[in-house]
Amino acid sequence: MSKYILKYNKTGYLKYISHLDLMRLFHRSFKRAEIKLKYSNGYNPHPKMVIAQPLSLGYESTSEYLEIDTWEEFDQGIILSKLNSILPNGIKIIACKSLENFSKTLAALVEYAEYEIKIDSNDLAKFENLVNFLNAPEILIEKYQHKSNTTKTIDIKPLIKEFSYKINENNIVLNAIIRTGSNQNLNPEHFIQGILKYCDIESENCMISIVRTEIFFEKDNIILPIQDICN
Amino acid sequence: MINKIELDKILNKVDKPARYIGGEQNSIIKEEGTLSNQFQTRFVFAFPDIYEIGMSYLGLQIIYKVLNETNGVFCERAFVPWDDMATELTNNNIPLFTLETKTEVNKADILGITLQYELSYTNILNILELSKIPFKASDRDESFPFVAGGGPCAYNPEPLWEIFDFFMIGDGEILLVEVVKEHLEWKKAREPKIEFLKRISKLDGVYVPSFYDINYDEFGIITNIDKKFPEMPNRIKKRIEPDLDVLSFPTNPIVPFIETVHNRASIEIFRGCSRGCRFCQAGIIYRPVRERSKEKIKNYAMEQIKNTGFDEMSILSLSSSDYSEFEVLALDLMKSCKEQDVSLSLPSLRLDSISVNVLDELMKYKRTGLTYAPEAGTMRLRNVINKSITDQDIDFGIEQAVSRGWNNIKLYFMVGLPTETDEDLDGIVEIAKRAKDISNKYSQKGGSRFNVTVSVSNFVPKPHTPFQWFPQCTLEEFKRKHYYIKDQLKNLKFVTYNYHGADSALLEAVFARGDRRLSNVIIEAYKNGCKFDSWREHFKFDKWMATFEELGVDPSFYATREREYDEFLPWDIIDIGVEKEFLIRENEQAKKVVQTPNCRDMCSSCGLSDNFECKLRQGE
Repeated sequence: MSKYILKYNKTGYLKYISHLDLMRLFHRSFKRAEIKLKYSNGYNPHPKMVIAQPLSLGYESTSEYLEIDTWEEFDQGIILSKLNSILPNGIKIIACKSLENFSKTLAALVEYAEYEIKIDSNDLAKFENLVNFLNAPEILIEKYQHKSNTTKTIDIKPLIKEFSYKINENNIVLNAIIRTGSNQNLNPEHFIQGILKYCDIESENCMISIVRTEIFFEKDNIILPIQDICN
Repeated sequence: MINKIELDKILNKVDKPARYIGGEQNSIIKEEGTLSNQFQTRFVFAFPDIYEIGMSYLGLQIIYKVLNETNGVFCERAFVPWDDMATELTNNNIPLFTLETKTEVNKADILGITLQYELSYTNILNILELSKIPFKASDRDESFPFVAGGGPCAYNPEPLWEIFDFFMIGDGEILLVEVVKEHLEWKKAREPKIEFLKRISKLDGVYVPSFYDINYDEFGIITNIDKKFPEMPNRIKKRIEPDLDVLSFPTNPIVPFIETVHNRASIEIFRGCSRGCRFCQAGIIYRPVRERSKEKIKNYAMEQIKNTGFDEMSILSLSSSDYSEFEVLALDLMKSCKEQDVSLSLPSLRLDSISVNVLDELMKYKRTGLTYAPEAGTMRLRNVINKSITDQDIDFGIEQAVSRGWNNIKLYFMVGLPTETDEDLDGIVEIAKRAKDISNKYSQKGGSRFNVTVSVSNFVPKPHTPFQWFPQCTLEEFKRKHYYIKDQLKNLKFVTYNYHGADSALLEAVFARGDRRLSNVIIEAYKNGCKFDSWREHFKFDKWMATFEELGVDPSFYATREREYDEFLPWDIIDIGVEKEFLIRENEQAKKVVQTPNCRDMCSSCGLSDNFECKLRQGE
């Protein structure tokens, strides 16, 4: 029995595949690749296959992580090449590493994620205000809460670790590292809401595309990409 | 190719965008050009319903495979977009596109639309409108694709005649390949559009409706047919392959990203049916029975699983347990599936014929419902419809299931069958009660509660069946029957009762046995807002009725009128190989409450073997 971490990307039209559909795609693909996954115990056994951090429908990503438990030990290169020969265009395994002596789950370790957000807008001049974005004492957004059907005002400033941007001819590209995972989480939609509100721009007039570029864990106050978990 | 940036904008706004993206595993992309690995003929296979329904249809996978295996041909797919997407496409002026290459559907050479059920007819117009293709064949010049139809409803294509350039009747694997090969030739010859239609009209199974003028008398009954060209056949003979083992089968079907109605491997084990139920169109038009060999079935099944990673597999056919070596096949498949961690579904079993062995194996991993279709409540009425199962058979079947721990049984019935009385409806209630009595014998304390689902659908007389002359029930009578049963079942706590709306059955009956005057009705109804008629939440019966009235077409002429044997029926132009005399004989036997034997036991001389090779007859 062995444990592996797979790094993959999800690009192009595949960004329209939901998290659950992606899990099913992986499940079928492992089956086709004859890589037998371990199953959980219990009444309704399911394969031991966990995506470190679900990606919202409509987002691309260049760094996603999947953790699997297999029955047998495999050469990491073979897992990579077998899967890539089966996976559809838009999903590619970039790396496969063995996770020896690793008892936690990746999902529990996720603390931050980095996003590249491109906003096409006719109102680019307004984004000049962003110079002072992180100097504001607080950045308030409205968060809708399904359970109670109410909106709640929250300050997202403490959830933003790093932020930079570049204004181009037709668009602005934002780069941000924000809190992600089960401890503290900032939904990129709320981050964008904060940006647009700060610049006084209506989201209806923008074309927004979002790419997740990395997922991080934290060690001794330093953040590191998930793939370095075993180093 | 449509603008992909614009497409991206709208995909961000719609529900389940994965319906529209293509790129699934095992889907195919080809390049246009003159090289041998490139294509010259672009065929777009359109299913007139949403992606989740169309992708569950094995015929799509079969046609996709055979066409893409044909040199010079590229088959792409299109489906009806759901409302939200249709609105976005229209608002952004993006025409309907293929999933494979995002090419406009109107750039196809041939747009093939499958005709699976009558209530999808308005969706065909939805496809054409979104593709910016005129509805009527006569309004489409050389710049538009040929619009072709096939599938079970093509056995009476007349209500659609103005919309389609041609119809294909029979097995797609054979005829469709010949049609596209002819298209490649025609394209090389650079001939006008009509020459292609003339070329293919010489093929058995191709019907070009515009080459025939249909004349009617003052009552709306067909008097005669005038051919526009003397070389056209008088009747269109269906085209079939007698030996299924020579046909190729999709062992690498497209695997949808999203959950569809049936997201599983599926293997067709035979075509046709030997039972001869008198209401059943499939049982007549797909004659003769043609079985795929056990070895092929097993190989295809294992290859499909290997190429898809599905964990469920299903066998497909009418009345599956009639397969000549069914028990061996089913047990074999179950064993191989188990080794691969795949569960096997056997959806079309008859409990009177299913072996106890198969049931024992099945119950090891399948504990969901079990469905049983007596179709009618009394033996008398089952004799009329030639559904040859006795009350003892039904009880035996239920007992087999219940004694093995099944506590959820579904029973399917039809109402409005010829000669039906309230006594036959009482019979439905009796069967449900007997099922409960049987379950009481086996019930254990603390065991889960027994439930019978009684599902009632409405009889629609279909063309090419012994009941094709029979009047359908009126709406009022259907409703009365539904409530008559409901009243008797309402105090039985163990029964769940479902029935289908009678109004959609009326429309089905109109279009199933309709003629050319209905083309306009379909077009006008669509313009009045009718589409997705098979979706309860979309079905607009009032608008349909208003359209009939507006155009002065009487739906009862088609649905509830009894035809004479000597009447020229709109679908008589289609020659299915079964003789009309046989259908008349069968209808008379029905009136006399006499059964006709299963073809496997005795040949009843339906006339088919004069036209096609029938292995059952040879086996006599």
